[in-house]
Amino acid sequence: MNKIADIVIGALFILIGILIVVFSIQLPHWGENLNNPGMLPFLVGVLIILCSLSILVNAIKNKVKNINDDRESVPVNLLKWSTLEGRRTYIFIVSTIIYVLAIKQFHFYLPTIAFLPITSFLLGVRSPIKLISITIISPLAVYLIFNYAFNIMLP
Amino acid sequence: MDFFIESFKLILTPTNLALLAAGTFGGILVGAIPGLSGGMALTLLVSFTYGWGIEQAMSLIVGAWVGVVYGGSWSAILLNMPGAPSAIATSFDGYPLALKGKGGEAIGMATIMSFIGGLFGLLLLLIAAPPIKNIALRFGAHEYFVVTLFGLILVGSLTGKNLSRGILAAALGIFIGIIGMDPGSGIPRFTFGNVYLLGGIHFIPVLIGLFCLSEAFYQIGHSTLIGGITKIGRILPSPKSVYMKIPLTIRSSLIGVISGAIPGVGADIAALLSYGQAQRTVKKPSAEFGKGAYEGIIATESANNACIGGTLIPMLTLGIPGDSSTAIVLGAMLLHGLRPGPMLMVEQPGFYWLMIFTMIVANFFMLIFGLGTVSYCARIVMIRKEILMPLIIMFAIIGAFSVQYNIIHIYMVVFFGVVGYLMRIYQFPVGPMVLGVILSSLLEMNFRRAVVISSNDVLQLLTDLATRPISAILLLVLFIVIVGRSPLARFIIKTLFRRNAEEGK
Repeated sequence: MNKIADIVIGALFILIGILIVVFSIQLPHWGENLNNPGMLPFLVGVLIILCSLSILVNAIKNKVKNINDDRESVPVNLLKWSTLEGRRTYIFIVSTIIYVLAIKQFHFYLPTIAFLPITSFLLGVRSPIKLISITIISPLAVYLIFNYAFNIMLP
Repeated sequence: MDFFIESFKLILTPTNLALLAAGTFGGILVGAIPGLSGGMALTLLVSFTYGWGIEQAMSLIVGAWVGVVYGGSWSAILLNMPGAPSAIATSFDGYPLALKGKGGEAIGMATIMSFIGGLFGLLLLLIAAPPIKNIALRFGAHEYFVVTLFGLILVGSLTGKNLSRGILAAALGIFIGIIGMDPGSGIPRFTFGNVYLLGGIHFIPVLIGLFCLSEAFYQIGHSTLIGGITKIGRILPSPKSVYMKIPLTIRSSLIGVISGAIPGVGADIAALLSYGQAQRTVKKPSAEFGKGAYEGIIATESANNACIGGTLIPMLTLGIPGDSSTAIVLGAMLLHGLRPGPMLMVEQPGFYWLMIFTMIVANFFMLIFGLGTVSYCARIVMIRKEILMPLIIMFAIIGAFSVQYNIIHIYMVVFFGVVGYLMRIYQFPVGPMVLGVILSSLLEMNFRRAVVISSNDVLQLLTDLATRPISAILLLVLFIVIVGRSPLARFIIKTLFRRNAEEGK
């Protein structure tokens, strides 16, 4: 899994590096002198390409020679829906995205009152007392702390 | 002398003392809870204190920083699950002691040695910072450019197991920092017509996404905590046992400071190095190392807290953070209009002394809270991730929004949270990317100044970089570090050792 992932990552970042280089040289004043807006992005793009090439070449070499490098394996369980760890992670990420989109529509408190207990429930918290406590105490504490102590406006 | 006294008086105001105490106590609790990291806490505090005065903001942030590094020892000792990476080595002997019913004494020893180590680190900062500052005052654009590049590449190369991945992460961070209007000409770069990107990508949402959200996503996939020792018992070790271990404490603290001063090394490596030296140098430990030796705890805890002083040496004098936490503190300073570097100590000596006194007082609060509250607060290490992580998301959203009250920052936080999560999965270090974002503008500004000074000529620029003593030495060190970690160098070293072994036979 490490080798295939590294090959894909290497190739992807080589492509990103090339795109950065191409867009850099298309910026105005390129080529007039060293002090132009595209110079540093160009150098960064080249560095990205070189690092990605190193990752790609190592990965191909290890795959061809069937060598396992000394890194830990990619934790694939976290990427698979079929595993408990993967499902928990996907549920959490998706619920976070929904929460953020809901904040834009409904502002902070309503989505938060929904997000906290629902996400905790989906992740395995079953105690009604804990769920109700999170739902009531957290938004209240946030209101008091951020309005009066930190003096911060909420979304 | 005036600044010395004024800064001292400033720290002793009730507001700043209260914030320092709250920050230290909160930091200890955050550090104690497995799943919460110092980076998370500091990042959120930087965003929450955006609109505050610098003294109040730093009181809270510095207190939390000191607290978090120490707080990891609680869960390391009681649960065998370090709350902070710097406490990994503390669990080697701390947990066996807890199993023997001596968890309280272990935490007491960790607290006292963290306190001594923290003060020792600050003492060395006081000694080392002025001469380094005097050298750095002679820096020009070329030296600043090389120092910034040196810090970035060194952190990228020393963080994580793979050189290319670390440097790639740093390069991506620099690229993210470049997006927006070019400061010299006003030309939009990589905005693709998006008006929100014209002002650039603010580093706070990037920080929160990469440190907070990605860590929360990663943690939720791991099993939740269900057991641990929370019965504490006696806490204070005997004065004689503390006094007898002072030489070990000083040696370990020295390792901590030196490790902290080298960008990319950090408190976790400092603690492990210190543990190794304790194993080699302590002839009669209280127990076998790894089975409940107090010397193991002393070595790691004094080193990891001394490391804080060490990381401040390059940060305050050169503007180069020694690790991720220092990078976040540097971000806080930039947000409040301060520019870390040698000119900081010249133009703002009051701030320099403020940092010193804040850290000294924070160490005292750490000692008080560590010894006084552990019996009551130890149960906090058992809090479930399923409750904690959604709360972290909520705070992260508030923190991202609080910086400029821009809803786009919330979307950026989630985006960088997913990016950071994928980086962790595929073993890219997150710290170098954060550093790249924070230092990109400094890097570009000095690069372009150096280019102008070198008459816009590539050969002249390279000659200037190679012939100025400081930039030449740093470039040489960088070259040695990069080449030394490259596969070619490893191959050469392996071949040489094999040959020597065969000749030896």
